[in-house]
Amino acid sequence: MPDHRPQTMLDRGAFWTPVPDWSTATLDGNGWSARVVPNLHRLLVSGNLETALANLAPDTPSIGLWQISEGNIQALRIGRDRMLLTSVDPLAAEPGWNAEGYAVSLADDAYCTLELQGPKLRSLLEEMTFVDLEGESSSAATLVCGQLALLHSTADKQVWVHVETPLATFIWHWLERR
Amino acid sequence: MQLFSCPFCGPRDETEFTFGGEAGKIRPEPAPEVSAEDWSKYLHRVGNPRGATSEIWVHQTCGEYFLMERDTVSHVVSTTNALRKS
Repeated sequence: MPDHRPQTMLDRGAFWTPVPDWSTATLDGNGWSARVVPNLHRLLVSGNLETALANLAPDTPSIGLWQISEGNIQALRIGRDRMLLTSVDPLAAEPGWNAEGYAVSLADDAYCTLELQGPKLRSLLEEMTFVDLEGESSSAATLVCGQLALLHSTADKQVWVHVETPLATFIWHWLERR
Repeated sequence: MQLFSCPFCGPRDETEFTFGGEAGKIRPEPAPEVSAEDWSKYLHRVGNPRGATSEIWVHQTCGEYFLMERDTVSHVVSTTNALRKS
């Protein structure tokens, strides 16, 4: 029997590229590998960052571009008055405005963190971004594969790239095609 | 590729920046009393100088708005200064 139902609505299900299963996704390139850092907690903080850091993560240094962050908490500087705090364990923070002059937003799922490492990491990064990694920039924010991202080291020949979650798929497919 | 110097981040590639407008262009106030001609002048008339100019730019990755003094002929950037006091 012919199907007389109107065929006017486009099936957009196949329009978007498939999202990898981040719990198992890994890539092995020529001299580099990639994976997603699982289960990170994230807070976006704006305003008086000095006070915010003292309250939320004492003795945690502010991390700029290419700088090495160590430990279980990273205070990643985005701009003059904005940073992203990432941590293995949840930080004790009330979302909203704090009377001491800063605001906190929960951002656990807002960002995805890609870990890249390997002996040829540097040549990979030179394709991913124009930025001068040795420029000692105060901000970890730059363009990675043309997308806004936070870029810093966690060890020798190992970096973390924090991107807004919807952009992670794009960057992952970029890496797959490299 | 040209480098601009963000007052907070330092030198970054030009692709990270966006033009924000002519410096010193004051929005006419109060709005209800501004004539159509003055609105038009504010919105559409630009100096577009040949040579030295002062402009507002924004560094997209960090959100910093700043004043840039540059030359529209040689493309030399002489200074960039934050618009904020702290």
